[in-house]
Order: sequence, then C-alpha cells, then structure tokens
Amino acid sequence: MNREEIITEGYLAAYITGELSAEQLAEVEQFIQDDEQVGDEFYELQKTVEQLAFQYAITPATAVKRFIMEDPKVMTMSMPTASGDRVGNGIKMLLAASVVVTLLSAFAAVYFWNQWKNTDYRLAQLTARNLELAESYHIVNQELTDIRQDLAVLVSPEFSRIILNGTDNAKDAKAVIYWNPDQEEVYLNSANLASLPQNQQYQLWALIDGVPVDAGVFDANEGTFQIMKNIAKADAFAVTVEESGGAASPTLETMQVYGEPQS
Amino acid sequence: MATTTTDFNILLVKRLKNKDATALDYLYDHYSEALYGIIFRTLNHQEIAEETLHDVFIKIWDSIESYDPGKGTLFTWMYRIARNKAIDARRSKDFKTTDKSDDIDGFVDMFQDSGNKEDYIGLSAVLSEIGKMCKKLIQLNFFMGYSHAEISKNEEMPLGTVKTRLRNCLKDIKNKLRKDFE
Repeated sequence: MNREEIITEGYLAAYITGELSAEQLAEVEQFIQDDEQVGDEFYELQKTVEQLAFQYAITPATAVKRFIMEDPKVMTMSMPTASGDRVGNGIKMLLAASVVVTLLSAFAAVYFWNQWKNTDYRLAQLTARNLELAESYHIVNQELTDIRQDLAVLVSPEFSRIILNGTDNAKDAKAVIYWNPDQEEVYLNSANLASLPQNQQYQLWALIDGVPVDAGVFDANEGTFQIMKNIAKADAFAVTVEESGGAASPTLETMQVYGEPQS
Repeated sequence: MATTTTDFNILLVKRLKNKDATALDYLYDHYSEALYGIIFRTLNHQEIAEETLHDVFIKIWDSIESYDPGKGTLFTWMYRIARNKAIDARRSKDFKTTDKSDDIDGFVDMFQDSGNKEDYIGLSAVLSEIGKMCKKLIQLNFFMGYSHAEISKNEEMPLGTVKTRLRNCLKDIKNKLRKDFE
C-alpha cells in the first residue's frame, strides 16, 4: 500500500467508517501519522463527513439525555470521591472548614452562655440591691415623717410640756408629756423608764378632779413619742405599772412618775 | 491539523477522561443530534434508535480513555461508535422481530430536503450539484450503516468501485464547498 492507493482507493473513508481489516488499519494509521499529505486528506474527509452529519442531524427525544445523565455509570463515575485528588481535597477542605466552624460556634456558645449567666447573676444582685435601697428609703422616709411630726409637736405653741418626775418607787425615772388640750392630743416620751417583765405594761393616767382616767398603756422602750389617748382636761398625769393590757383603776403603790401641768 | 475546534476538543476530552459529567452534558448537547441522525437512519425505528443513542453515549463515557487524537478527530471516533452500535442493533434478534429489515429496499433520498439545520455552509446546494449515485452511496455508507460489500451487492457495483466512488464523492463535496468559500 502506498500514499496514492490510500488516498484514491477509498481507504481513508473506509477508515472513518471502520471497515478496514486489522492489517489495513495498522498500515493506514501509520500513513496518517507519518505522511502529511495522507494526514491532510484524512482530516478533510473527516470534516466533510462531520459537516454532512451536522447538516442532516435529527433531534432525539429529550428524555434520552436524562437517562444518560442519570445512568448509574455516569452518576457513580462522577461522584466526587471517584473524580481525583483535586475534588477529594476540596471535600477535605470543606470538612476541615466545617469542623472549624463547628468549634468556633461551640466556643462562641459557651462564651455567650457564660456572659449571659454573669449578666443574669448581676441583674439579680442589682435587683436585690434596688429592693434593699427602696426598703431603706421607705424606712428613712417613715423615720423622717415621724421626726417631723415629733418636731412639729415640740415647736408647736399649742402643746404644753409636762415633766413627770420619778416617785420614791423609781427616783431616777423621768417622762415627758406634750399635751394640746384644745385638740385633746397627748404625746409621751418614755425613754427614761426602766424595762418591765413581759407580763407587765406601763399605764398613763390623767387625774381630773382627783379621779384617774385611763390615757393608754405602753411599753418602756417604744421610741420617743407615743401617741396616747385623747385627754381634754387634766390636773395631773401619772404612770403606774399594771398587768399587760392595763387596769380599770390605777395601782397607786406602783406609781413611777408624776407631774402637773403648769397653770 | 490544529484548529480552534480541535484545541477545544482537547480540553473536552481531558474533562471527559477526568469523568467530569458536565463535559458529557456538553458533549451530548453538541453532538447527540448529529449522531442520532446516523443511528436513526440506520435503524429507522425511534425507540430502538433512542436506546442505541443512550448506549452510544455510555460507551463514549466508558471508553474515552481509548480515544487517541492522533488517529482521528473526536467526532470521527464517536461517529464510528454510533455507526457500529446502530449496525449491531439492526442485526440483533430484537430488531429482526420488528417489521423492519436490514434490506436496502425502500431507500428514500435523505438529501431531498436541506436537513433540519440552518445551512450555513451551503451544503444542500452543493449536494444538489453532485450525482444521484454519489448521494446514494454516501447515504447508504455513512448514514445508513451499510458496508462496502452490502452496497456492492445491492447496487451491482464492483467493491473497488464503491470504495473509490465514495472517496471521490466526498472529495467532490469538499471541493465544491471550498470553491463556494473562495
């Protein structure tokens, strides 16, 4: 077989359609690779067949492509693990990235949870402090109100101050009464009276024309000003020690202090 | 021989050899109609032709490693697979039970129309100029999968003459196309 025969006797066209014997095939292939003229002729023939095939193409049903792309051979062969190191590394990178993201998320979760717990704790502390302060304020405010009230009584020209001095029963004892006969108001400062057993209480009496009138019971250490019962008229005031809850008439032997208003 | 088409095909083949399914997707979009034209005309039976087209692309996918650019273009390699698969299908038992036969009888000139594509290169005009027998030989051998021997027998033409005339007909088409461009 020579160049001329291969070109003119249709061997190249037969090579395209695959109609050569094994022996002819090897010879023609050799010529195509070694002989430029044969190579060019072969290329031109291939192009002509391709042009004819494209010009007289027929469109197949669209489902054919889907079946090809979904064929197990195509699907499994194009799996990332089977597609070489590049894609494999890509998966590894993705895995590494996801691990990093997961770790960061975990750290962030723990960090923010701690922050939140701390904040929550501090909020509870502050709320408690706030309640304490509010309570303190309420107490102070109440004390202030009381003191203002006491001061108002002390400075008021309507109130007369009566000193009750200790009797023989309690020589060191002393009590002070602030009395407004017009308003019938009686305040008592009992700070200097001794404390009593639990079953006893002090009782204040107003003496009107020699008759004792109950002006209220009180405990020894109950602050400076105690509001007593209303008294309109009194010649003198006295404090006795009585059973808890007070008595209908005074036990004179227990009289602790006694005083008369200045006329 | 190097052209932009072959340069592009080198990349395409490389991707196919890497089992890149997107390359197969492209390959199908670009070549399936041309190959189906060969397969359908060989079988003249839609269902079997479509099954064959499927088999052809799976074979291309499976055996792309064996494609050697030094022995021909990518299209020639795929064309050969399509032609052989279609001939195998026609010779199969399944095909023989259909009312189709592998006789050349009932031949219809496929070049009567200009094909289903825009005729950018004026191919149909060139084909109208070449001889009736030329067109028939090309159709029988390149589009219908008949061998030189089968054509020789059917056309009562010596085997050597079939081969030589086929080659001359293709050459004629190529020369007329080139003349139109020049």
